[in-house]
Parts: sequence; structure tokens; C-alpha cells
Amino acid sequence: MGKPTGLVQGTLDLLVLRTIEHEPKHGWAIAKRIQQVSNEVLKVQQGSLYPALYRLEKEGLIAGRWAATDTGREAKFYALTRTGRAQLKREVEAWTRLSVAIDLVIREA
Amino acid sequence: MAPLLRVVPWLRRRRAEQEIRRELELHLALETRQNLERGMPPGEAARAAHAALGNVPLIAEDARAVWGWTWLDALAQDIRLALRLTGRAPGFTVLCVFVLAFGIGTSTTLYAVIYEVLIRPLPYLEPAGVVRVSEERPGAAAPTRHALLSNLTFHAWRDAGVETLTALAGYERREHAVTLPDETLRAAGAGVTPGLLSMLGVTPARGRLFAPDEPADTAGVVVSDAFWRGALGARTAVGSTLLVDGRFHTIIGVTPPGFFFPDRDVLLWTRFEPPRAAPDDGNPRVTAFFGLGRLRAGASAQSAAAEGTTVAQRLTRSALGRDLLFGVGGPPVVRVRTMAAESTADVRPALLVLSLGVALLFLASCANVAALMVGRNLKRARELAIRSSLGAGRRRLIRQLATEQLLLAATGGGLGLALGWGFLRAVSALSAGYFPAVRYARIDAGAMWLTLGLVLITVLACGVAPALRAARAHPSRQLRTETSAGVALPGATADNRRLRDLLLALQAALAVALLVIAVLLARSFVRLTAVDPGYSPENVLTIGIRVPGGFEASDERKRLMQATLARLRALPGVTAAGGSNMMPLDGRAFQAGFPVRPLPDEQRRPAVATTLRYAVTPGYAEALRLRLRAGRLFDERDAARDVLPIVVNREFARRYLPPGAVGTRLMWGEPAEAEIVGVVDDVLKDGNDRQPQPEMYVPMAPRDRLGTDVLVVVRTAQPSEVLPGLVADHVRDLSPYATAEIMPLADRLSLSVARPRFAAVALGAFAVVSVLLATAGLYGTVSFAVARRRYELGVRSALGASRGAVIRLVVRDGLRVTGVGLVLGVAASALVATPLLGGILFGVAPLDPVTFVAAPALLAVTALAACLLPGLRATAGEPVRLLRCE
Repeated sequence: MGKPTGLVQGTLDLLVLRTIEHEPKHGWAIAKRIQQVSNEVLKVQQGSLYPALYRLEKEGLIAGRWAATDTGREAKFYALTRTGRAQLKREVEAWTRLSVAIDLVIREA
Repeated sequence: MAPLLRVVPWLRRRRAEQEIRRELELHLALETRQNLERGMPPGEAARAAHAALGNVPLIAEDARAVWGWTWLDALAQDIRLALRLTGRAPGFTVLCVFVLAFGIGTSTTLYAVIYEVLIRPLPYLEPAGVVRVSEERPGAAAPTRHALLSNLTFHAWRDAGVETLTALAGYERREHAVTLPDETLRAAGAGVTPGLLSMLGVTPARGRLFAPDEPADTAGVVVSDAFWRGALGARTAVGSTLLVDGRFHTIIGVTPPGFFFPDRDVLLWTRFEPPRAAPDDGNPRVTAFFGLGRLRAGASAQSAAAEGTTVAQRLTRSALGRDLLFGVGGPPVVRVRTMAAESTADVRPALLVLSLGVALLFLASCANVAALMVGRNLKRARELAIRSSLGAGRRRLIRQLATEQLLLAATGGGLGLALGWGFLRAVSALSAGYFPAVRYARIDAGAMWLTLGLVLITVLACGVAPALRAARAHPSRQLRTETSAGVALPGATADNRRLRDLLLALQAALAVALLVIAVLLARSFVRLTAVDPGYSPENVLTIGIRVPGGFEASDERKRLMQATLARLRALPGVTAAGGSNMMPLDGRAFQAGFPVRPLPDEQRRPAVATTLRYAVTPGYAEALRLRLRAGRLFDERDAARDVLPIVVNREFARRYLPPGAVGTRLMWGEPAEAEIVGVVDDVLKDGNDRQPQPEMYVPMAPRDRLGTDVLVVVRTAQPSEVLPGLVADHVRDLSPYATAEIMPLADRLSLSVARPRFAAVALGAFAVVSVLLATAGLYGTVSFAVARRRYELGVRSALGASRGAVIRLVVRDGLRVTGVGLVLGVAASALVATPLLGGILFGVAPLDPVTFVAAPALLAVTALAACLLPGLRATAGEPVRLLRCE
């Protein structure tokens, strides 16, 4: 079961931040969205999402707030904070650089 | 700050936990609904949702871990668990805490005392170079206990130029009456030669010290920081005057806080100039005082002593005074010893023996706790195995065990420090009279951390490591073997047992050695107090009156004495009152010397006889109840005669007079003739442990000198509560500035044996603690052995072994170990400890047979009890009870 490895965890963080970039979402919605986006490639257990959420919340990158869903149930909606937004920007840049670097390595090989 | 912030969310954890649960529930509900919408049957939908999410409690736990308060939860759980387990084994807990507390209590106390007395450096610049200088005559019986220097040697050495010392100084202790605006108080002081304080390297906090070339007639006084803050209220400035002994002195300086010389009770320093004898004086005035110097770089104490001895032996002038002060013996020898060594010389061996004992005691208590823990953890091997097989990680187990042990250590350590504090209070109260340094001993942070650190290490090393080893290897085998026979536990190997037996034997040895010493000291103390001092101290009040600024001349003091006596004799209940120039246990000595006509029958007699010379008024002998052995005391017949009547003690008669001493005539200055009119019993003036010395009593005459205090003794028919108050009133009547020291003679006597009493009580307490510890260790071990062999003992009983046989089986091992310890302890105390005690003991041989039988017997009895108790408990009731394990 275990914890996600460094790479996966970093990826997961990035995915979470990306998912809620435009509108706050609750846990299940985030999980569904991540599954969609990664086209089921990322084999992350839904459960490991929640520790990640709490960690991000503790780090101040996202903020949770209880609110009613469209079906009227109470859910905790997570939204990006200002530091979260900056972090996302940095991570996307890093990710892009990394992708480019991998591209270069592959091309030169 | 950071740990606090981490605790804050912990306080809100209940709400946070609910949130996690609600979130996960919502997730499951939404997932299930989606699955239903995709057409799954209801049961299948829920199961799939669960499968997709994963292990819900684990997720919750991981989420909690993010918040970082799990360690606190685990700690709370560990403490809860530890308390519960502690409650389940109260005997073990109490024993452990007791052993730790006593071990720590005694060792911190003694560490504090030893540090204060032996280790703390003297508050002087480079204290190692400060030396005491004294002289003695080899073979002479000096009349004083102190090592002193004579003014003759002092000046001769200074005049010759001191090579090996940078400075040679002298001092004497003084007792001052200091008159302040609203009271006159007594203060201990010291008269110092002008260079002494600067030689010690003191920098005054204010003002200055005595200058080496200070004119002899300046009446300056240097006061201590304590006196300046206390009596002077930190207000009086340098340069103002202070009335000391009725004379105006100028305060020239204040010493820095923490400085003391020569003892902490000394509050002020005045000038002291050793008298210089005129070169042509046939019988120069001789005084003796304490000599002090500082070694020049490169010089040793030996070379300084050699230089001083050369100077002293060059002094050929005979001086009667010198004979009186230093006794009659070989040519003078100068001794030089470092002050640090000298000031602790008399207590050092005792304290070293004691600290060795403390170290052993501390080790013993640690060993006891270790033995108890090993035993207990073996018993718990099963519990640990269960925990381990249920998935408790190694780290979790260590943490749990450590928490338990730390809880024990903290309780034991805390109690121990409290106990140590109490011990220290008791010790300083007991030793207040003669051992003032102890009053300043403190359990400081250093001592505290040292002991606590040692305890923690012991407890963790003994408690955690073996238990883990026991639990680690094969939980399953552990579980199986334990339930069947209760034997072959890992950790209970022969090696372990031998080590434990050795520790137990050593403890018994230590306990018995301490017991021997304590009993010896106690018996010695009893002997000491049973000695006949030659007077009877009950219902006698001693009074010392000092009037500063008046009564300077001896005849004035004598009038004061007569006035005082007249008033006292008129008081109801007073049966006798008398005055003298000295009295028992007052620390004064008026010595007289006279040439003895050679008597044909004895050759060993010195050419000069020395004796204590009491000048007394009528009533003195009656007040002290001196016992007349032959002849008579003074009476009115003496006034009519032209012959000086003398009463001597038996020692005087034995040494200097022919048999049938009464009636012997002596040549005695003016009046030319003296006659021995009576012989009284020896008075042990300087304490019960002293040998009798020659004493003579003469009626107080106009030319007799008195000390600075007017001394009076009063006997009442009954113990009197009001007399001290009446005396004090009377003294105030005489002069508002007068101070009186009023003390029952019995108290003086009790104070004079305070030191041996302290030694006996301290060692006694120490011995009791070590016996208790040894017994506790033995009890713990035997109980453990019984618990381990429970099943076996049950089988034996069930098969028909008698109760006695089973008990014998249990007790045998414990007693064998104790026996070895007893032999070791007795041998050790006979070989090592008793020779060290030889000089301290009074009236008891170091190898006193009573002691050497009683001490081991006492320990044997407690050991037997410690072994029998678990045996009896195990064999009480039905054997089947033993077979029903757990």
C-alpha cells in the first residue's frame, strides 16, 4: 500500500494544484478529475489523495472550506491559496524544464 | 515556539478526526452512487467503492500523521500503558522507585558535601600557591591543637629575607563586639598582618586593603561583603567609622562577594602586628599565631620548610614563652603545607572513604534496579512477544519500554533529589557547630544533571535492551515455551545470573562494611559521652561578658566579675557562682611554666613544667563540682597566711610532685613560697577525647590577667529556664553596650562531641540505607527466581515435596550469595576501613569483637527475611495454584 514515492508524490501534488486551479473542488471530484486527466495512466490509489490534501493544506498551498455540493451534501472544498498559486507556477515551470531536458536526452541518445 | 505550534492542532484533534471521517464517508457515498449509476448492483457498488479508496482507517491515520501529532498520541498511549502496567506490579514499582530514590538521595547529598568541602577552590588568586606556615618541636606535647608560628621565628625569617615565599604573613582569629546605632553585636574577625589580604590576591569591591607599609597606629577595618550588606545595610560608605570593641575604626575597604578568609564566619579584618622582642630582652614576649605565605614560582613547600627551619634553628635565645606555647622538645622545625590541603586535612580521609562508599552505593542501587528490570522484563517477554506478533514495530516497542522506564526513572529521580535536599538540610543542621562549610553545600545543577543522567542511562540500558533481546528473536517460540514449562527463557543464562550474584554479593559486602564502621563510630561516641570530664555539667550556666569600650584593665573586669557574682548569688535557686580566667570547653588556655626541682626518683621530667593555670574566685570549684581527692579547697585561712595556696589536679601531682602531694612547698615567684593545699580530679578542659593535662588553681589575685571576656559559672539547684534571661538583663544593666554569651555547660559539652556524633549519625544513616538497598536487591532477585520457577515449584509440591523443602530450595541461593558478601565485607572492613578509623575511634578497638559479630548478624537476619518472604508467599496455599500459570 505504502506511500507514494518522491516522483509520484511530486506529480500528485502538481496534479492536485492543477485540478483546483480554476475552481474549488472536494476530494472525490479531485480524484475523478485526476483519473480523467491522467487517462488512468497514473495508478494512484484514491485513498492516498487525502493525506496529500491534508499535507498541502498544512503547507498552506491549499485551503479547505466546508460547503454544500449541488446535491445538497456537506463537503470540504479545496481552493488554491496565493502561495499555492505561486507554487503551481513554479512547479509547472520546473515540470516543463524537466520535460524539455528529458526530450533533449532522448533526442541526443 | 515550534513544539507549541505543533501541540495546538493536537488540542483540536477531535474535530479534525471527525472531518477526516466525514470526508472519507462522502467520498465513499459519491463513488458508490457513481457505481450504481453505471449499473452495478448495490452491494457490488459499495464494495467497489471501498476497494478503490483503500484501507479507510489507514488513510485516516496517514492523514493524521500529516498533522504531526501522532507522536503525542503515542506518548499519551505509552504513558497510559506504563501507568496501567505499573499499577499491575506495584511491588516492583515501589521497590524500583525506593531503590532509585535512596541511591540518588544519598549520592547527591554526599557529592554536594564533598564538592563544597574538598573540591571547590578557595576564593583566592592561584590558591594552590597559598601555604600555611607553622613550627613545632619534635617530640613535644604542644598544648594547643593548632599548628602555629611564633613571633620570634616570624620576624627572624622576615629579617633574614624570605627566599622561597613571595610574602610571609600572619593572622589570628578575633572575636569582636561591634557597636551599631541600635545594637551591639558579636562578630568573628581576623587580625591580619598588612600584606596578607593583598597576598591572597583579593581585589576590594570598594575602598582598599591594608597597605604593606600601613602605619601601625591606624585603626582601619576591612569588612566582608556579607557584613557590609547585612549589618551595615549596604549604606555605610568607605571612610566612615565603625565602633569595634569600643574603639573607633575607619572602614577602609569592602571585600568582594564570595571572598572569605580564613573561614566563612569571619566578617571583618583588623590589623595585626606580631610583637617584636627587643634584642636584649632576656625573656622575650612570645606569641603564637597562624602563619601564611605564598610560594615563589619554582619553590616547593619542602624548600620553603627547609628555609624556615634553618632560620628557626638559628634562634638560639631561650624563651620560656616558647616552651609554654610549643612544648619542650627537639630543635624547632618549620612546616609548610598548602592551605587547601591543610584546611581539609582532618576531614579528607573520612570524606574520601565516604565518597568511595557513595560511589559503591550508587552503583549498587543502579545494579538493583537493573536486576529488578531484567527479572521483570523476562516475565514480560510473553507480553512483548504478543505485541510483536500483533505487528508492533521494533521502534514502537522500544518507545513503549523506554516510556515505562523513564517514568520510573523520573519518579525515582525526583524523589531522590527531594530526599537529597532533605538529607543535606539534616546534615548541615547536625554539623553546624564545627563544620561550617557544609552549610554552604548545595545540590547544584551540575550534581542534579549528573545523577539524573546516570540514572537514565542505567534504566534505559537495563530496562530496554534485555527486554528487546528477549522479545526479538522468535515471538512464536517465545509464546509456546512460556506457556508450557516456564523455563529456558532467553536472557536468563548462566552468565547473567553470575553477574547478578556478584552484584548482590558486593552489595552485601558494602552494607556489612558500612555497618561495621557505623557501629564502631556509634560505640565510640557512646564511650566518649560516658567519659568522666571531672566536673558535672548539669544545671550549670556559663556566662561570658564583654563590655566594649570600657573595663579595659583587668582590675576593672575583676570588679565587673565581683558585681556580677554578687547579683547572681542573690538570685533564688542559685547554689554556687564563681569566676575564673578560663573554664571547660571555652577554647582559652592560660599556661604557666615553672622550673621543677629535680626529684631523685624520676629522671624523665622536663626541666620546665607546664600547666594550665586557673585563677579562680571562691565558688568556682563548687559551681563546677570539682571533686576534691586530698587536702582542701581554698578558704578564709589562706588570707591570713603569707604562702600562696595551690590546688592541683591529679595529673599535676602525678607528673610533678612526690607521693602525698598535699603540703608540698614550691618556689613560686612572689610571694616566694607556695603550698599545695589540695588535689582535685582531672578536668578534661578541651574535650572528652583529650588526655588529662596538668592543671593548677590559685585564688584570683590583683595581678592575674583575664581574657577579653569576663567568665562566670553559675550552678542552680534545678534546671532554670529564667536564669539566662535574668543574666542578660543584668548584663544590660551594667552597660548598654555589653554583650553576653550565655550557654548551659551541658550544651557546650554536647557541642564538643558534635563531630563524633555527626560521624556516627551520618555513617549510621548511610549504613541503614545500604542495608535496605542490599535487602531490596536480594528480595527482588529471590522473588524473580521464585516467579520463574513457579511451575517447577508447583510440580515439586504436587509430587509431595514438603513446604520446608521447597522453601529451602528457594532460600538457599540467596543466602549463599549473602554469605559470600558477608565474608567479603567483614574482611574488607577489617583490612581497609578500620585502620583509617583508628585515629577517630575513642575507647573502642578498631577490631572490636562486639561490632564484628553484631554487624554481620544484623545483615544476615535481614537477608534471611528477604529470602524467606517470597518463598513463604509462593508456597502458601494449594500447589495447584502454582501450576495454574497466568
